Amino acid sequence: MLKVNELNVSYKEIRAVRNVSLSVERGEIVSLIGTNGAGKTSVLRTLSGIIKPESGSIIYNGEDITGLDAHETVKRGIVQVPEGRQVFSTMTVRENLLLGAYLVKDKKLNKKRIEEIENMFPILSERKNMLAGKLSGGEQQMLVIGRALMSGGELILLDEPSLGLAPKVVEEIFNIIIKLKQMGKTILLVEQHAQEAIDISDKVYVMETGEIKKAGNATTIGDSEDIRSIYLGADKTT
Amino acid sequence: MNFFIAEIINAIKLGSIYALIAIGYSIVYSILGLINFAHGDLMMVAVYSLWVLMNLKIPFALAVILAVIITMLLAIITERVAYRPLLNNGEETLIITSLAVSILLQSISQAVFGIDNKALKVPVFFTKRIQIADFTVSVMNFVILAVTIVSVIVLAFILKKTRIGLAMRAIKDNSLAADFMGINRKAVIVAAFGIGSALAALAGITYTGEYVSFDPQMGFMLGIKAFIAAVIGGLGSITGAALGAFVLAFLEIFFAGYLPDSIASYQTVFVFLILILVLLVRPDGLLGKNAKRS
Ligand SMILES: Nc1ncnc2c1ncn2[C@@H]1O[C@H](COP(=O)(O)OP(=O)(O)O)[C@@H](O)[C@H]1O
Ligand SMILES: [Mg+2]
Repeated sequence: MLKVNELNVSYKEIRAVRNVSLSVERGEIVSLIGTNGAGKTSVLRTLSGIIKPESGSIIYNGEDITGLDAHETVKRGIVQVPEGRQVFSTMTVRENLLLGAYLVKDKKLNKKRIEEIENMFPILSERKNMLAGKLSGGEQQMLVIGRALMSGGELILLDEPSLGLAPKVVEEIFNIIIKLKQMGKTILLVEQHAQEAIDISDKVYVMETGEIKKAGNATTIGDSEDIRSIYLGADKTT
Repeated sequence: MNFFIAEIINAIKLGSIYALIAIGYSIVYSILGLINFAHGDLMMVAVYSLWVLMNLKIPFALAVILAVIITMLLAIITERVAYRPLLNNGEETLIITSLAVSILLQSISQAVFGIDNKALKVPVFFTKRIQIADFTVSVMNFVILAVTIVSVIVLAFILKKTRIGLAMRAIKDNSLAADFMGINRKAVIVAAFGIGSALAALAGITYTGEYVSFDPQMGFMLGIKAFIAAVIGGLGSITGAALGAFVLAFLEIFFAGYLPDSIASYQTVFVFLILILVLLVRPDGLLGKNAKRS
Protein backbone atom coordinates (compact mmCIF):
# COMPACT_ATOMS: atom_id res chain seq x y z
CA MET A 1 0.00 0.00 0.00
CA LEU A 2 2.81 2.39 0.95
CA LYS A 3 6.36 2.10 -0.26
CA VAL A 4 9.06 4.54 0.75
CA ASN A 5 12.40 4.36 -1.05
CA GLU A 6 15.64 5.98 0.05
CA LEU A 7 13.98 9.00 1.59
CA ASN A 8 16.19 11.92 2.62
CA VAL A 9 14.88 14.93 4.51
CA SER A 10 16.88 17.96 5.65
CA TYR A 11 16.23 21.09 7.66
CA LYS A 12 18.66 23.69 6.34
CA GLU A 13 21.99 22.16 7.47
CA ILE A 14 20.76 19.15 9.43
CA ARG A 15 19.84 15.95 7.63
CA ALA A 16 17.09 14.50 9.80
CA VAL A 17 16.21 11.48 7.63
CA ARG A 18 18.83 9.41 5.80
CA ASN A 19 18.01 6.88 3.11
CA VAL A 20 14.92 5.62 4.86
CA SER A 21 13.08 2.83 3.06
CA LEU A 22 10.02 1.14 4.46
CA SER A 23 6.81 -0.47 3.36
CA VAL A 24 3.35 -0.89 4.79
CA GLU A 25 0.85 -3.46 3.50
CA ARG A 26 -2.91 -2.97 3.57
CA GLY A 27 -4.44 -3.87 6.93
CA GLU A 28 -1.16 -3.92 8.83
CA ILE A 29 -0.01 -2.11 11.89
CA VAL A 30 3.58 -1.03 11.30
CA SER A 31 5.57 0.65 14.05
CA LEU A 32 8.45 3.06 13.77
CA ILE A 33 10.28 3.25 17.07
CA GLY A 34 13.39 5.06 18.18
CA THR A 35 14.66 7.60 20.66
CA ASN A 36 13.87 11.30 20.67
CA GLY A 37 15.31 13.13 17.68
CA ALA A 38 15.72 9.96 15.62
CA GLY A 39 13.70 11.49 12.77
CA LYS A 40 10.38 9.67 13.16
CA THR A 41 8.21 12.79 13.04
CA SER A 42 10.17 14.04 10.04
CA VAL A 43 9.36 10.81 8.18
CA LEU A 44 5.63 11.04 8.95
CA ARG A 45 5.43 14.73 8.03
CA THR A 46 7.14 14.04 4.74
CA LEU A 47 4.65 11.26 3.99
CA SER A 48 1.80 13.73 4.59
CA GLY A 49 3.43 16.40 2.45
CA ILE A 50 3.88 18.90 5.28
CA ILE A 51 7.60 18.92 4.55
CA LYS A 52 9.26 18.08 1.25
CA PRO A 53 11.97 15.44 0.84
CA GLU A 54 15.39 16.18 -0.59
CA SER A 55 15.37 12.92 -2.50
CA GLY A 56 13.74 9.53 -2.53
CA SER A 57 10.26 8.46 -3.47
CA ILE A 58 6.93 7.75 -1.82
CA ILE A 59 4.60 5.38 -3.63
CA TYR A 60 1.02 5.07 -2.38
CA ASN A 61 -1.34 2.57 -4.00
CA GLY A 62 0.97 2.45 -6.98
CA GLU A 63 1.05 6.21 -7.46
CA ASP A 64 4.13 8.36 -6.96
CA ILE A 65 3.06 10.98 -4.42
CA THR A 66 6.52 12.33 -3.58
CA GLY A 67 6.39 16.05 -2.80
CA LEU A 68 2.62 16.45 -3.05
CA ASP A 69 1.04 19.01 -0.70
CA ALA A 70 -0.93 17.86 2.32
CA HIS A 71 -4.29 18.57 0.73
CA GLU A 72 -3.32 16.18 -2.07
CA THR A 73 -2.18 13.36 0.21
CA VAL A 74 -5.27 13.68 2.43
CA LYS A 75 -7.44 13.49 -0.68
CA ARG A 76 -5.72 10.21 -1.58
CA GLY A 77 -6.44 8.71 1.84
CA ILE A 78 -3.34 9.38 3.93
CA VAL A 79 -4.32 11.03 7.17
CA GLN A 80 -2.18 11.95 10.15
CA VAL A 81 -2.77 12.21 13.87
CA PRO A 82 0.04 14.64 14.65
CA GLU A 83 2.49 14.64 17.50
CA GLY A 84 1.28 16.72 20.44
CA ARG A 85 -2.33 16.16 19.34
CA GLN A 86 -2.78 19.60 17.77
CA VAL A 87 -6.47 20.10 18.43
CA PHE A 88 -8.09 23.35 17.32
CA SER A 89 -8.27 24.54 20.90
CA THR A 90 -10.52 27.59 20.44
CA MET A 91 -13.05 25.63 18.41
CA THR A 92 -15.69 23.18 19.60
CA VAL A 93 -15.30 19.42 19.63
CA ARG A 94 -17.87 19.17 16.85
CA GLU A 95 -16.07 21.76 14.71
CA ASN A 96 -12.84 19.84 15.21
CA LEU A 97 -14.51 16.71 13.84
CA LEU A 98 -15.95 18.63 10.90
CA LEU A 99 -12.51 19.98 10.07
CA GLY A 100 -11.30 16.40 9.80
CA ALA A 101 -13.79 16.03 6.95
CA TYR A 102 -12.71 19.29 5.30
CA LEU A 103 -12.15 17.60 1.93
CA VAL A 104 -15.27 15.42 2.15
CA LYS A 105 -18.10 17.35 0.57
CA ASP A 106 -20.79 14.69 1.03
CA LYS A 107 -22.82 16.03 3.98
CA LYS A 108 -24.73 12.78 4.53
CA LEU A 109 -21.51 10.82 4.70
CA ASN A 110 -20.10 13.28 7.23
CA LYS A 111 -23.18 12.94 9.37
CA LYS A 112 -22.93 9.17 9.32
CA ARG A 113 -19.24 9.29 10.20
CA ILE A 114 -19.87 11.67 13.10
CA GLU A 115 -22.43 9.20 14.45
CA GLU A 116 -20.00 6.30 14.12
CA ILE A 117 -17.19 8.22 15.78
CA GLU A 118 -19.42 9.39 18.62
CA ASN A 119 -20.48 5.78 19.16
CA MET A 120 -16.86 4.81 19.37
CA PHE A 121 -15.99 7.75 21.67
CA PRO A 122 -19.19 8.71 23.56
CA ILE A 123 -17.27 11.45 25.39
CA LEU A 124 -17.02 13.38 22.11
CA SER A 125 -20.78 13.43 21.87
CA GLU A 126 -21.20 14.52 25.51
CA ARG A 127 -18.69 17.33 25.00
CA LYS A 128 -19.60 18.26 21.45
CA ASN A 129 -20.11 21.95 22.25
CA MET A 130 -17.09 22.24 24.52
CA LEU A 131 -13.94 23.97 23.30
CA ALA A 132 -11.36 21.34 22.41
CA GLY A 133 -8.72 23.15 24.47
CA LYS A 134 -10.74 22.40 27.59
CA LEU A 135 -10.59 18.61 27.14
CA SER A 136 -8.17 16.41 29.09
CA GLY A 137 -5.14 14.99 27.28
CA GLY A 138 -6.77 11.60 26.78
CA GLU A 139 -9.98 13.14 25.48
CA GLN A 140 -8.00 15.32 23.09
CA GLN A 141 -6.23 12.24 21.79
CA MET A 142 -9.59 10.57 21.12
CA LEU A 143 -10.74 13.74 19.42
CA VAL A 144 -7.80 13.85 17.04
CA ILE A 145 -8.17 10.15 16.24
CA GLY A 146 -11.87 10.76 15.56
CA ARG A 147 -10.94 13.81 13.49
CA ALA A 148 -8.61 11.66 11.40
CA LEU A 149 -11.37 9.07 10.88
CA MET A 150 -13.65 11.83 9.58
CA SER A 151 -11.46 12.14 6.50
CA GLY A 152 -12.27 8.55 5.56
CA GLY A 153 -8.54 8.00 5.03
CA GLU A 154 -7.35 4.43 4.81
CA LEU A 155 -3.78 4.89 5.93
CA ILE A 156 -3.54 6.49 9.36
CA LEU A 157 -0.21 7.88 10.51
CA LEU A 158 -0.13 8.10 14.30
CA ASP A 159 2.68 10.19 15.79
CA GLU A 160 3.19 9.31 19.45
CA PRO A 161 -0.48 9.09 20.38
CA SER A 162 0.37 8.09 23.97
CA LEU A 163 2.70 11.02 24.61
CA GLY A 164 2.16 12.58 28.04
CA LEU A 165 -0.83 10.42 28.97
CA ALA A 166 -1.43 8.51 32.21
CA PRO A 167 -0.71 4.73 32.05
CA LYS A 168 -4.39 3.81 32.13
CA VAL A 169 -5.13 6.15 29.24
CA VAL A 170 -2.13 4.84 27.31
CA GLU A 171 -3.64 1.37 27.55
CA GLU A 172 -6.92 2.72 26.24
CA ILE A 173 -5.18 4.37 23.29
CA PHE A 174 -3.49 1.10 22.35
CA ASN A 175 -6.87 -0.65 22.48
CA ILE A 176 -8.23 2.01 20.13
CA ILE A 177 -5.35 1.40 17.71
CA ILE A 178 -6.22 -2.31 17.66
CA LYS A 179 -9.84 -1.34 17.01
CA LEU A 180 -8.77 0.84 14.06
CA LYS A 181 -7.06 -2.18 12.56
CA GLN A 182 -10.22 -4.24 13.05
CA MET A 183 -12.13 -1.51 11.23
CA GLY A 184 -9.90 -2.21 8.25
CA LYS A 185 -7.56 0.75 8.59
CA THR A 186 -3.87 0.51 7.89
CA ILE A 187 -1.64 2.04 10.52
CA LEU A 188 1.84 3.46 10.64
CA LEU A 189 2.56 4.08 14.32
CA VAL A 190 5.37 6.10 15.85
CA GLU A 191 5.83 5.36 19.54
CA GLN A 192 8.11 5.79 22.53
CA HIS A 193 6.25 3.04 24.36
CA ALA A 194 8.25 0.52 22.34
CA GLN A 195 7.10 -2.69 24.03
CA GLU A 196 3.40 -1.96 23.67
CA ALA A 197 3.91 -0.87 20.08
CA ILE A 198 5.87 -4.02 19.20
CA ASP A 199 3.19 -6.17 20.81
CA ILE A 200 0.44 -4.95 18.50
CA SER A 201 2.52 -4.59 15.33
CA ASP A 202 2.88 -6.77 12.27
CA LYS A 203 6.17 -5.15 11.44
CA VAL A 204 8.60 -2.92 13.29
CA TYR A 205 11.26 -0.47 12.10
CA VAL A 206 13.83 0.88 14.50
CA MET A 207 15.20 4.30 13.73
CA GLU A 208 18.34 5.96 15.06
CA THR A 209 19.86 9.30 14.07
CA GLY A 210 17.89 9.48 10.87
CA GLU A 211 18.48 5.92 9.70
CA ILE A 212 16.57 2.66 9.87
CA LYS A 213 18.81 0.47 12.00
CA LYS A 214 16.64 -2.62 12.16
CA ALA A 215 13.50 -4.00 10.64
CA GLY A 216 11.57 -7.12 11.37
CA ASN A 217 8.38 -8.62 12.66
CA ALA A 218 7.22 -8.29 16.23
CA THR A 219 8.93 -11.49 17.42
CA THR A 220 12.37 -10.92 15.93
CA ILE A 221 12.54 -7.30 17.05
CA GLY A 222 11.05 -8.02 20.46
CA ASP A 223 13.63 -10.77 21.09
CA SER A 224 16.62 -8.97 19.69
CA GLU A 225 19.12 -8.27 22.47
CA ASP A 226 20.32 -4.78 21.58
CA ILE A 227 16.76 -3.57 21.01
CA ARG A 228 15.79 -4.94 24.40
CA SER A 229 18.61 -3.15 26.15
CA ILE A 230 18.37 0.18 24.33
CA TYR A 231 14.67 0.72 23.74
CA LEU A 232 12.75 -1.58 25.99
CA GLY A 233 15.07 -0.92 28.93
CA ALA A 234 14.83 2.81 28.38
CA ASP A 235 11.10 2.42 28.00
CA LYS A 236 10.75 1.03 31.51
CA THR A 237 12.64 3.85 33.16
CA THR A 238 10.41 6.53 31.65
CA MET B 1 -25.01 69.27 25.07
CA ASN B 2 -25.61 69.51 21.34
CA PHE B 3 -21.90 69.72 20.76
CA PHE B 4 -21.46 66.58 22.84
CA ILE B 5 -24.02 64.65 20.80
CA ALA B 6 -22.57 65.90 17.53
CA GLU B 7 -19.18 64.65 18.69
CA ILE B 8 -20.65 61.24 19.46
CA ILE B 9 -22.11 61.07 15.97
CA ASN B 10 -18.72 62.00 14.51
CA ALA B 11 -16.99 59.37 16.61
CA ILE B 12 -19.41 56.64 15.53
CA LYS B 13 -18.87 57.62 11.91
CA LEU B 14 -15.10 57.59 12.18
CA GLY B 15 -15.16 54.43 14.30
CA SER B 16 -17.24 52.62 11.67
CA ILE B 17 -14.71 53.47 8.97
CA TYR B 18 -11.73 52.51 11.13
CA ALA B 19 -13.54 49.26 11.97
CA LEU B 20 -13.91 48.27 8.31
CA ILE B 21 -10.22 48.85 7.70
CA ALA B 22 -9.04 47.32 10.99
CA ILE B 23 -11.08 44.15 10.49
CA GLY B 24 -9.43 43.68 7.10
CA TYR B 25 -5.99 44.06 8.70
CA SER B 26 -6.91 41.48 11.28
CA ILE B 27 -8.25 38.91 8.83
CA VAL B 28 -5.14 38.98 6.69
CA TYR B 29 -2.94 38.96 9.79
CA SER B 30 -4.68 36.00 11.37
CA ILE B 31 -4.28 33.89 8.23
CA LEU B 32 -0.79 34.91 7.11
CA GLY B 33 0.83 36.55 10.10
CA LEU B 34 1.34 39.43 7.65
CA ILE B 35 0.97 43.03 8.76
CA ASN B 36 -0.02 44.37 5.38
CA PHE B 37 0.98 48.02 5.27
CA ALA B 38 -0.44 48.30 1.76
CA HIS B 39 -3.90 47.59 3.16
CA GLY B 40 -4.73 51.28 3.63
CA ASP B 41 -3.76 52.08 0.05
CA LEU B 42 -6.45 49.73 -1.20
CA MET B 43 -8.93 52.39 -0.04
CA MET B 44 -7.24 54.86 -2.34
CA VAL B 45 -7.38 52.36 -5.20
CA ALA B 46 -11.12 51.92 -4.65
CA VAL B 47 -11.78 55.66 -4.58
CA TYR B 48 -9.76 56.38 -7.75
CA SER B 49 -11.47 53.47 -9.51
CA LEU B 50 -14.86 54.81 -8.51
CA TRP B 51 -13.90 58.33 -9.63
CA VAL B 52 -12.78 57.08 -13.05
CA LEU B 53 -15.88 54.94 -13.47
CA MET B 54 -18.15 57.85 -12.54
CA ASN B 55 -16.36 60.05 -15.04
CA LEU B 56 -17.16 57.38 -17.61
CA LYS B 57 -20.81 58.01 -16.72
CA ILE B 58 -21.34 54.56 -15.30
CA PRO B 59 -24.31 54.60 -12.90
CA PHE B 60 -23.23 55.15 -9.29
CA ALA B 61 -24.38 51.83 -7.82
CA LEU B 62 -22.73 49.83 -10.59
CA ALA B 63 -19.60 51.96 -10.34
CA VAL B 64 -19.35 51.22 -6.62
CA ILE B 65 -19.66 47.49 -7.22
CA LEU B 66 -17.05 47.59 -9.98
CA ALA B 67 -14.69 49.69 -7.85
CA VAL B 68 -14.92 47.11 -5.05
CA ILE B 69 -14.26 44.28 -7.50
CA ILE B 70 -11.27 46.08 -9.06
CA THR B 71 -9.81 46.60 -5.58
CA MET B 72 -10.29 42.94 -4.69
CA LEU B 73 -8.62 41.83 -7.92
CA LEU B 74 -5.68 44.14 -7.34
CA ALA B 75 -5.28 42.82 -3.78
CA ILE B 76 -5.36 39.23 -5.02
CA ILE B 77 -2.79 40.05 -7.71
CA THR B 78 -0.43 41.64 -5.17
CA GLU B 79 -0.79 38.52 -3.02
CA ARG B 80 0.12 36.39 -5.99
CA VAL B 81 3.11 38.35 -7.29
CA ALA B 82 4.48 40.03 -4.15
CA TYR B 83 3.66 37.97 -1.05
CA ARG B 84 3.24 34.35 -2.13
CA PRO B 85 6.80 33.91 -3.44
CA LEU B 86 8.10 35.21 -0.08
CA LEU B 87 5.75 33.31 2.23
CA ASN B 88 8.54 31.22 3.73
CA ASN B 89 10.98 34.09 4.13
CA GLY B 90 9.73 35.29 7.49
CA GLU B 91 7.54 38.05 8.82
CA GLU B 92 10.10 40.85 8.43
CA THR B 93 10.48 40.23 4.70
CA LEU B 94 6.72 40.30 4.24
CA ILE B 95 6.31 43.54 6.19
CA ILE B 96 9.01 45.28 4.15
CA THR B 97 7.42 43.94 0.97
CA SER B 98 4.05 45.32 2.00
CA LEU B 99 5.64 48.74 2.58
CA ALA B 100 7.11 48.53 -0.91
CA VAL B 101 3.70 47.63 -2.35
CA SER B 102 2.20 50.58 -0.48
CA ILE B 103 4.74 53.03 -1.91
CA LEU B 104 4.34 51.52 -5.37
CA LEU B 105 0.55 51.93 -5.35
CA GLN B 106 0.88 55.55 -4.21
CA SER B 107 3.51 56.32 -6.85
CA ILE B 108 1.49 54.79 -9.65
CA SER B 109 -1.54 56.74 -8.57
CA GLN B 110 0.52 59.97 -8.46
CA ALA B 111 1.99 59.32 -11.87
CA VAL B 112 -1.37 58.65 -13.45
CA PHE B 113 -3.64 61.11 -11.63
CA GLY B 114 -1.26 63.73 -10.20
CA ILE B 115 -0.66 64.62 -6.56
CA ASP B 116 -3.41 67.23 -6.23
CA ASN B 117 -6.62 66.68 -4.27
CA LYS B 118 -9.68 65.61 -6.18
CA ALA B 119 -13.30 65.66 -5.09
CA LEU B 120 -15.68 62.73 -5.19
CA LYS B 121 -19.21 63.88 -5.89
CA VAL B 122 -21.61 61.22 -4.66
CA PRO B 123 -25.29 61.51 -5.73
CA VAL B 124 -27.10 64.30 -3.84
CA PHE B 125 -29.27 61.75 -2.08
CA PHE B 126 -26.34 60.87 0.19
CA THR B 127 -25.62 64.45 1.18
CA LYS B 128 -29.21 65.20 2.17
CA ARG B 129 -29.53 66.03 5.83
CA ILE B 130 -32.15 64.48 8.05
CA GLN B 131 -33.55 66.39 10.99
CA ILE B 132 -33.44 64.46 14.27
CA ALA B 133 -34.57 66.45 17.32
CA ASP B 134 -32.24 69.42 17.45
CA PHE B 135 -29.82 68.50 14.76
CA THR B 136 -29.35 67.30 11.27
CA VAL B 137 -27.43 64.23 10.22
CA SER B 138 -26.46 63.45 6.64
CA VAL B 139 -27.78 60.33 4.93
CA MET B 140 -24.14 59.37 4.40
CA ASN B 141 -23.75 59.01 8.17
CA PHE B 142 -26.41 56.34 8.21
CA VAL B 143 -24.96 54.70 5.13
CA ILE B 144 -21.54 54.45 6.78
CA LEU B 145 -22.97 52.87 9.90
CA ALA B 146 -25.18 50.52 7.87
CA VAL B 147 -22.31 49.43 5.62
CA THR B 148 -20.21 48.60 8.66
CA ILE B 149 -22.98 46.72 10.45
CA VAL B 150 -23.94 44.73 7.37
CA SER B 151 -20.28 43.95 6.61
CA VAL B 152 -19.74 42.66 10.13
CA ILE B 153 -22.87 40.49 9.95
CA VAL B 154 -21.89 39.07 6.57
CA LEU B 155 -18.39 38.41 7.83
CA ALA B 156 -19.67 36.71 10.98
CA PHE B 157 -21.88 34.52 8.79
CA ILE B 158 -18.96 33.60 6.52
CA LEU B 159 -16.75 32.72 9.47
CA LYS B 160 -19.39 30.71 11.34
CA LYS B 161 -21.33 29.02 8.60
CA THR B 162 -19.23 28.51 5.49
CA ARG B 163 -16.49 26.05 4.65
CA ILE B 164 -13.99 28.77 3.81
CA GLY B 165 -14.86 30.50 7.11
CA LEU B 166 -14.28 27.28 9.03
CA ALA B 167 -10.93 26.96 7.27
CA MET B 168 -10.01 30.55 8.18
CA ARG B 169 -10.75 29.99 11.84
CA ALA B 170 -8.85 26.70 11.75
CA ILE B 171 -5.73 28.32 10.28
CA LYS B 172 -5.90 31.10 12.83
CA ASP B 173 -6.29 28.59 15.65
CA ASN B 174 -3.59 26.13 14.57
CA SER B 175 -2.10 26.46 11.12
CA LEU B 176 -0.10 23.23 11.36
CA ALA B 177 -3.20 21.23 12.26
CA ALA B 178 -5.05 22.96 9.43
CA ASP B 179 -2.39 21.71 7.00
CA PHE B 180 -2.88 18.18 8.34
CA MET B 181 -6.63 18.46 7.64
CA GLY B 182 -5.88 19.04 3.98
CA ILE B 183 -6.87 22.70 4.02
CA ASN B 184 -5.22 24.38 1.07
CA ARG B 185 -3.72 27.40 2.75
CA LYS B 186 -3.03 29.24 -0.49
CA ALA B 187 -6.71 29.24 -1.41
CA VAL B 188 -7.70 30.50 2.03
CA ILE B 189 -5.08 33.26 1.83
CA VAL B 190 -6.62 34.42 -1.44
CA ALA B 191 -10.04 34.48 0.23
CA ALA B 192 -8.63 36.48 3.16
CA PHE B 193 -7.16 39.05 0.78
CA GLY B 194 -10.43 39.19 -1.12
CA ILE B 195 -12.53 39.82 1.99
CA GLY B 196 -10.04 42.24 3.55
CA SER B 197 -9.73 44.30 0.38
CA ALA B 198 -13.50 44.44 -0.14
CA LEU B 199 -13.82 45.91 3.37
CA ALA B 200 -11.02 48.39 2.66
CA ALA B 201 -12.72 49.41 -0.58
CA LEU B 202 -16.01 50.03 1.22
CA ALA B 203 -14.17 52.02 3.88
CA GLY B 204 -12.43 54.17 1.28
CA ILE B 205 -15.61 54.85 -0.64
CA THR B 206 -17.72 55.70 2.39
CA TYR B 207 -14.93 57.82 3.89
CA THR B 208 -14.51 59.85 0.71
CA GLY B 209 -18.27 59.95 0.22
CA GLU B 210 -18.42 61.77 3.54
CA TYR B 211 -15.26 63.91 3.47
CA VAL B 212 -15.23 64.43 -0.35
CA SER B 213 -11.57 65.18 -0.96
CA PHE B 214 -9.04 62.49 -1.83
CA ASP B 215 -5.44 62.16 -3.03
CA PRO B 216 -2.89 59.38 -3.62
CA GLN B 217 -1.73 59.48 0.01
CA MET B 218 -5.22 59.25 1.52
CA GLY B 219 -4.85 55.61 2.54
CA PHE B 220 -1.59 55.97 4.40
CA MET B 221 -2.57 57.75 7.62
CA LEU B 222 -6.00 56.09 7.72
CA GLY B 223 -4.33 52.73 7.27
CA ILE B 224 -1.87 53.42 10.09
CA LYS B 225 -4.66 54.51 12.41
CA ALA B 226 -6.76 51.47 11.61
CA PHE B 227 -3.69 49.32 12.17
CA ILE B 228 -3.28 50.93 15.58
CA ALA B 229 -6.96 50.23 16.26
CA ALA B 230 -6.41 46.58 15.37
CA VAL B 231 -3.39 46.38 17.66
CA ILE B 232 -5.26 48.09 20.52
CA GLY B 233 -8.09 45.59 20.14
CA GLY B 234 -5.74 42.63 19.76
CA LEU B 235 -4.27 41.90 16.34
CA GLY B 236 -5.94 38.89 14.76
CA SER B 237 -9.19 39.27 16.70
CA ILE B 238 -12.07 40.60 14.64
CA THR B 239 -14.18 41.74 17.58
CA GLY B 240 -11.01 43.28 18.97
CA ALA B 241 -10.44 45.20 15.74
CA ALA B 242 -13.97 46.62 15.84
CA LEU B 243 -13.66 47.49 19.52
CA GLY B 244 -10.24 49.09 19.02
CA ALA B 245 -11.61 51.11 16.10
CA PHE B 246 -14.37 52.68 18.19
CA VAL B 247 -12.14 53.25 21.22
CA LEU B 248 -9.66 55.04 19.00
CA ALA B 249 -12.28 57.09 17.17
CA PHE B 250 -13.97 58.25 20.39
CA LEU B 251 -10.70 59.26 22.02
CA GLU B 252 -9.49 61.01 18.89
CA ILE B 253 -12.70 62.97 18.35
CA PHE B 254 -13.03 63.94 22.00
CA PHE B 255 -9.39 64.98 22.26
CA ALA B 256 -9.85 67.24 19.28
CA GLY B 257 -13.18 68.54 20.52
CA TYR B 258 -12.53 69.17 24.18
CA LEU B 259 -8.86 69.92 24.63
CA PRO B 260 -7.69 73.53 24.35
CA ASP B 261 -7.04 74.48 20.73
CA SER B 262 -3.34 74.88 21.35
CA ILE B 263 -2.88 71.13 21.94
CA ALA B 264 -5.93 69.71 20.15
CA SER B 265 -4.05 69.76 16.87
CA TYR B 266 -1.76 67.10 18.27
CA GLN B 267 -4.54 64.51 18.17
CA THR B 268 -2.40 62.08 16.18
CA VAL B 269 0.23 62.20 18.90
CA PHE B 270 -2.49 61.19 21.36
CA VAL B 271 -3.41 58.26 19.16
CA PHE B 272 0.12 56.93 19.39
CA LEU B 273 0.24 57.62 23.13
CA ILE B 274 -2.92 55.56 23.60
CA LEU B 275 -1.38 52.72 21.64
CA ILE B 276 1.72 52.74 23.83
CA LEU B 277 -0.33 52.87 27.02
CA VAL B 278 -2.61 50.01 26.00
CA LEU B 279 0.32 47.85 24.98
CA LEU B 280 2.12 48.54 28.26
CA VAL B 281 -0.86 47.21 30.20
CA ARG B 282 -1.95 44.53 27.74
CA PRO B 283 0.79 43.55 25.32
CA ASP B 284 -1.66 41.42 23.30
CA GLY B 285 -4.28 44.18 23.05
CA LEU B 286 -7.67 44.44 24.67
CA LEU B 287 -9.07 41.13 23.35
CA GLY B 288 -5.87 39.57 22.11
CA LYS B 289 -5.37 36.50 24.29
CA ASN B 290 -5.59 34.19 21.33
CA ALA B 291 -3.90 36.30 18.72
CA LYS B 292 -1.44 34.35 16.65
CA ARG B 293 2.05 35.31 17.67
CA SER B 294 4.40 33.58 15.27
N1 LIG C 1 11.58 22.27 12.07
C1 LIG C 1 12.83 21.82 12.31
N2 LIG C 1 13.90 22.60 12.04
C2 LIG C 1 15.15 22.15 12.26
N3 LIG C 1 15.43 20.94 12.75
C3 LIG C 1 14.41 20.11 13.05
C4 LIG C 1 13.07 20.50 12.84
N4 LIG C 1 12.25 19.49 13.21
C5 LIG C 1 13.07 18.50 13.64
N5 LIG C 1 14.37 18.87 13.54
C6 LIG C 1 15.55 18.06 13.88
O1 LIG C 1 15.48 16.88 13.11
C7 LIG C 1 15.85 15.75 13.90
C8 LIG C 1 14.71 14.74 13.89
O2 LIG C 1 13.59 15.29 14.56
P1 LIG C 1 12.18 14.54 14.61
O3 LIG C 1 11.84 14.09 13.24
O4 LIG C 1 11.25 15.42 15.30
O5 LIG C 1 12.54 13.27 15.51
P2 LIG C 1 11.61 12.34 16.40
O6 LIG C 1 10.20 12.53 15.99
O7 LIG C 1 12.13 10.97 16.14
O8 LIG C 1 11.83 12.76 17.82
C9 LIG C 1 16.17 16.28 15.28
O9 LIG C 1 17.57 16.44 15.36
C10 LIG C 1 15.51 17.61 15.32
O10 LIG C 1 16.21 18.50 16.15
MG1 LIG D 1 8.60 13.08 17.07
